[in-house]
This record gives sequence, C-alpha cells and structure tokens, in this order.
Amino acid sequence: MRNILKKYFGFEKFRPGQEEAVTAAVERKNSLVMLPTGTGKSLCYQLPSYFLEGLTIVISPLLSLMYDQIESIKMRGEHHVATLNSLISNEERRYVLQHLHTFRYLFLSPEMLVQPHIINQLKQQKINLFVVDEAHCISQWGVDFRPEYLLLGDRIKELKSPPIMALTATATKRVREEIIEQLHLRSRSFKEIIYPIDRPEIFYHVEKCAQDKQQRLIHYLQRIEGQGIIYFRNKETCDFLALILEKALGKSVASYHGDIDGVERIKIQQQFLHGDIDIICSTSAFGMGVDKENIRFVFHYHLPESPEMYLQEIGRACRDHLPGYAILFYESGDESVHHYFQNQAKMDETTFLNIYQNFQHLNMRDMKQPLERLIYFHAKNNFSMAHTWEVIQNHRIKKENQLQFMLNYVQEQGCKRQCLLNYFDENKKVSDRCCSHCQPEIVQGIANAPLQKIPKSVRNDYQWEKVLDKLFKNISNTYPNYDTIGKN
Amino acid sequence: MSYSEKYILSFFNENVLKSNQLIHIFQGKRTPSILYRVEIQQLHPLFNLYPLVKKDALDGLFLKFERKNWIEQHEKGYRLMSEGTQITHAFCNQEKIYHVSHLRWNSYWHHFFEYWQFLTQIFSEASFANIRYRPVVTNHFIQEWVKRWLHLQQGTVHENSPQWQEELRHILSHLEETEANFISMHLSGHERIGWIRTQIMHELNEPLDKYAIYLNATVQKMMNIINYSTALPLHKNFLDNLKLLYYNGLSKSTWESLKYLQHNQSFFEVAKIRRIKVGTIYEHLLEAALIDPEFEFDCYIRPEVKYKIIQILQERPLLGFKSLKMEVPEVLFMEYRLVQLEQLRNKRKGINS
Repeated sequence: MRNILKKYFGFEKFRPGQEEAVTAAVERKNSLVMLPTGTGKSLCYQLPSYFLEGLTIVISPLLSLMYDQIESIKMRGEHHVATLNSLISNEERRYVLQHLHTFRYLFLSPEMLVQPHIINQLKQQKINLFVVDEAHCISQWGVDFRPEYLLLGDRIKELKSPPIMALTATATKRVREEIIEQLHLRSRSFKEIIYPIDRPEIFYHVEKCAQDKQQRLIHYLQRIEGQGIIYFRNKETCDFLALILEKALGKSVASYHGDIDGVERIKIQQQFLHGDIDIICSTSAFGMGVDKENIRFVFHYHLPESPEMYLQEIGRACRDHLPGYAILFYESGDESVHHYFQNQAKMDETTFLNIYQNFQHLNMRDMKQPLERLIYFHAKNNFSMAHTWEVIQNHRIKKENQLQFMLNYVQEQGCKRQCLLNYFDENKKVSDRCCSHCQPEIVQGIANAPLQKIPKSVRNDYQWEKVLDKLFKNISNTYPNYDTIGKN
Repeated sequence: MSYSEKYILSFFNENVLKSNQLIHIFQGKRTPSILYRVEIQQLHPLFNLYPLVKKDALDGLFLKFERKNWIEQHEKGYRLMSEGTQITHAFCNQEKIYHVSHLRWNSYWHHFFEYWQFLTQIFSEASFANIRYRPVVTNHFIQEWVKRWLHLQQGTVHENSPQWQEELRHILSHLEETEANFISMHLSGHERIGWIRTQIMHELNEPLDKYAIYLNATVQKMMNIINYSTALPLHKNFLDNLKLLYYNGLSKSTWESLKYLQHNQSFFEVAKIRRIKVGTIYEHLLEAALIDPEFEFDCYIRPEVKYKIIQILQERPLLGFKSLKMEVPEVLFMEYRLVQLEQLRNKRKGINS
C-alpha cells in the first residue's frame, strides 16, 4: 500500500486516518470517515482504486469543489477521470457514458443520479467504491443540507450496493447517525473512522471590540507573523479592508470573493500558496481546494453563522502542525445581520403551500432561496406535506440554535476550545496552548510583541519583453526564426 | 475626485448628457435608440462599463458635478461649465487611454481576455514541455472550448508555441509601452503567476478604479490589432472562432436573423420562419449595423427610398422621422436610421454621400 502511496501520490507515509479508510475500502467495507479539514480526505478514496477493479464514483455537492478535485487528480498525472454534471454538454455526456469502462474515477453531482438513463448506464459497470463526499449534506441537521442527497441511499441500492465511503470533516454525533441511517451503511460490514476535529495547534481567542474593530484587527496583524486569512460576511467589507490593511501593514493583501473573476481568483490562490500574498480578505468563497500547510492565522471579522462553518474555516490554519491563531473579532450587535437574514428566509405557510402544491408548474432553477428548493424537491419526490413542513421548521430551529451557540462561544467565560468541542461531543486534549481563557498570557504576549517590519515582496517582472522571455523557452536555438522565413 | 468621475466628466466635453440615457449606456442596454445615441455621441467606451450601476447613484453623481459647478442643466440634459471644461481638458491631456470607437467587441472582450490568458499559459507550459500545471481557468466550458480549438490547429501545442510567442510579441509591440506592460503583467505561465489588479495598479502608480476602464480599452485595442493584422494567423483564427461563439458580439436572436437575411431571405420570410414580428427583424438589422462597423447594410435599404431620404436630409438634416414619413410615406424607420448612420460614419471618414 505504501508503494502505491509513493508511486501515485508522492507521499512516504499516510496521515492519521488515511490508512484505515483505504484499508476499509480495499476490504470492501462500508465506512464513515470523519477527518479534520486539511488532512487529506480525498486520498482515502483515490488510493483504493489502484487495488480494485472497476470504477470509483464520487458524489460531490459543489461543482467548484468537484473541478478542484479533478484538476488535482490530473495534476498528479492520472487522466482516467471524468465528470457528469449540469455544466457539461450533451455531446460530452454521451461520450462519458459510452466510455465509462475506461475511467478510474467518475465525479457526479447528486442530481445526476436521479436521471434514469445515467443509472442504467452505471448499472452495467463494476463499481468498486461509491464515495459520498461532504456527507453531512445528507442530514437535515447538517450545516449544508442538500435535499438531493436524500435519495442517495436508494440509488446506491439500485447500483447493486457497492461499498460506500461517506466522508465529512465536521459532523456532530447526531449528523453522523443520520448519515449512517440514510446511506444504510450498517447493511454490510461497516467501519467508523472518526478522528477528533480538535486542532491542538490552533490557539482560540475572541476579541471583544467597542467600535474599534478595525484598529483591533490591525493591532493583531501588526504583531502576528506569517500568512493568514481573514473572513468577512460581505464582499464590500472584504474589498474595503483589503485596501486599508495593505496601507496600514505594508503587507501584500488581496480581496477574494464571488465577484472576483475566475482567472484573478486562481492567481490569488496561487500567489498565496507561493507566498507572494500575505493576507487574504475573503468571504466564505476562499478555502476549498486551497491546500496550504503554513497558514498561521484565520481571523473572523464578522460572527460566523454556525460552529460547523467556524471550525471548517479555522481548520485551514496550521496544517503543518506548527502553532497558529483563530481570533474572532466580535462587537455587540454583530449577530443582528444574521437575525435579519433568518427573518428574511422564514417560510410562511402560504408560500410553503404554494410551492408544495404547484411544484409541477415551477422550475427549481428559478428558486433562489434554499428552503424553496427544498420544498420543491420534497414535493416532487413524494415526501408528505407534514414531513416537509417539519423539515422546514427544524431547519429554522437549527439555524437559530447554531447562531445562539456562536454567541455562547463569544460570551464563554471558561475554556473556549472546550466550548466549541462540546458542540461536537468531544473533549480537548491540549493544555499548554489552548485559548485566551486558559493562557491569557499568550494574548498579552501578542499585545506586547514588537511591530513586525516585514518588507513587502517586490516583483519586477512587469516589462512586457521580460515577461515574454520568462514565459517562453528561448526559441532561437530550437526553432526557425519566423521573421526570416520566406526571405532570401 | 476619483479617476472614474473625471473619466465620466470627460464625456461631457462635446456632449449634452442625460442621466436617464447614460444609465442605459452604462448598463449596456442594446436597443436601437440607445445604440444610436452611443454612436452619435461617441460614447462607445462607456457602453456596458458599469452594468450594475443604479440610477440613484448616477443621479447622485450628476448632482455632485452640478454642485461643484462642473456641469449645468440645459434644455436637453447636462452640459459642461467652464470649470468642468478645465478639469476635462487637463484630464484628457494627461490621460492617453485608447478611445474605443465601436461596439463590436463590447459584449465579449472580457471573455476574449480570459481565453487569451489561458491559451498563453498553455503555450507557455508547452514550450517547457510541462503538462502538470494548474490552469488559470477552471471554467469547464472554456477548458473544453480551448481544447477543441487547439485540436483544430495544424501541429501540436508544442509546435505552435513559438508561433504564439511571436504573435504575442507582435501584438504587444503594437501597443503603447505602458499598455503592453499592463497587459503582460496579467499573464501566467511556466513558473510565473500573473499579477492581480491591485498589484498591477499599485505598480503602475495608478488608481484602482482606473483598472476596469483601462483594461476594457486596451483589450479592445488588442482585438482590433488581431482583427486587422495579417501577421497573426493563430490569433486571427482564435478570434474568428471566438466571434462565432459570441455571435460576433450580437444577441443570439439577431445573429439568427442575420443568417437568414444573408442567405437572401426577405424580411417577411425571416419573420415567418422565426415566428417573430417583422419589426423585430428590422431592429435586429439596426442592432447589427450599430454594433459592427463592418456590417454592410446598404443592400437592405431600398435604393429609391434611400435616394429620397438623402435628398431631404441634405436640405433639412435635423428632420425627424415623423416629418420625413409625411413626405415619403413608404419609408421605414429602419431605412431612415440606417441612412443617418451611413451619413454619420461617412462624415467622420470625410466621405461625401
């Protein structure tokens, strides 16, 4: 197994949890794998395919995530990978379906599995592993509930019940139970591989601000070394603070959100990986597909809406296991924006009935609100009205509870780490570098630290002729001179 | 005063502008009347420049200009005052931004730039025989299109890489030095990550709000260079294919109608086939004429009607369509507008009709 790991992935050894997950798949067991973010979950399903004959199917909820994974597979030289999703052309879809036997990995968006002709084609294939990525989407108690995931269990049965690997990074015990039940994971030999979500390298702190959040943020950024991410709730603040911070800190700061065009986003990611950008100011758009080991801090300028989201975002720090910081900047009233959006998203009975009873005349693509899509999906798939209404109510309660939990975290007088871990039914294992309650001297140390004077990285490759010389191998020795062709 | 405010103010230079027209121009509204307004007032660089701008914001800007005594209310809109004239003159003397003079690239210049950066990366990596790299474009549709386009070319990507490089050199050498540097800073390729907008503008010591204006103008200038050059076979082929993908900058419906018209189908036949009103086909023709400066529309105007329109407009150039129709009842609005357009363009080129 280690030879395969070295040969195809270039690693000498497994990270915690990977070998167990790979072994479970090779032994054709069902598995639920919960590993912290950034610990290499994708390897868990990619490696077994080199031992097993047939196709590995991966269900992925986000197209961007799916394409990130496909790119990274291709980057390591594996080209037997294909996808079926709403973006591809009919021609390409036909090609993929006709050549399924030639692929090692097939990435599917969940709605593809609802299409009978795709199921029929897949039935004719030998499926060695069925992977459900971001499996917490299956749970109505999960943070990213996706109704399409509800049908997965039945669809997998139709595919002659291949071994299943359900992957997640942040799932409470309740969510994990729901994943197991929905995917019928106990219907065959089953292994649960659960690793603590706690990240001992990260120091937790909540900075309470009084109309001075910007200054407090700058104060910390002037004293904490290394590269980091600051999360914001909206694009405007991202852009605004990126400019302010660049001027105030003399560091290279970039803003990253949904309005930034695709090419620029990739450049920001790559420059950040390369160390040319020190700080990313981002909405939740940044992070997925960015595997950088030495992010030293993840700050939140606004209150995150749930502990799951918070854990996922701060989990991008310190993947090299060296110390780092997760600081949440809170100002009284920060939660009001969440309350506002929760009220906006509230589903009244009339709208509910209108969608549920008239779903045949509606188009899911026209629905902007997740709850509207959820009702549509339930109605279309014959879930009862009472059940659907209950799901909607549960969803609302869940959102309120998650926000309340984040407020509790902010106000927590005891150990911040343990407070967060309680949500996931875990106990902390660190004691020497835990949080601002347990080691207030660490926060004090930051406050007293000298201002950093890190020169901003300077690039001078901007003259166009130099750029071209760098981009292209010198052709004069290898290729004919195009200026002289045809001239005597 | 921000760069973009000065830029907008500079368009008052020889124009009287109304915010309720300018808002449609900023938002890129493609009705024949707005497109004609763009043409006669030479507002091409502003078309579709701020597609998300709101009327309130524009009104607020006009009010600000008015309060500062840069513009004043006039019967047909706002016009420059002497203080505003000084600002715009100083701005125009200092700023040498390429002035876009048609709309043919307007709807897809940014797509062109995205594809072009991606192709440059591919050819750059190919020149180093590297196949393992992270593409700057993750959009699956673009990736597939580029793959198909590369497949259609003679020779492999590696073989075509020197040609692409030579053509890049040709294009950039035909830009101003600063423009060429500005464009090349964006480029990613082998062991080079392109710069992002904040870094570029910081390096050039330019305000950030100039970026969108400058990029728009410079990329469209590049597209003109490629379109009219005979020394750029790969780029020309790329642009020609992209034109097909983006309906030559027209709306899809206009593109469809033109295909029939160019196969000698009459307006009525096209309307029948496409199950749309004949008036819509006339609008499609106007859109094509107003957007593409090379679109030959003369054959769609009845010669005898054109003769009458020209005669009357020579005597009374400001005659409106309603009055003209009283004298030439068979004239169509489309014909009237096309003749006006032809005369306007000829006048600019110094040609007598």
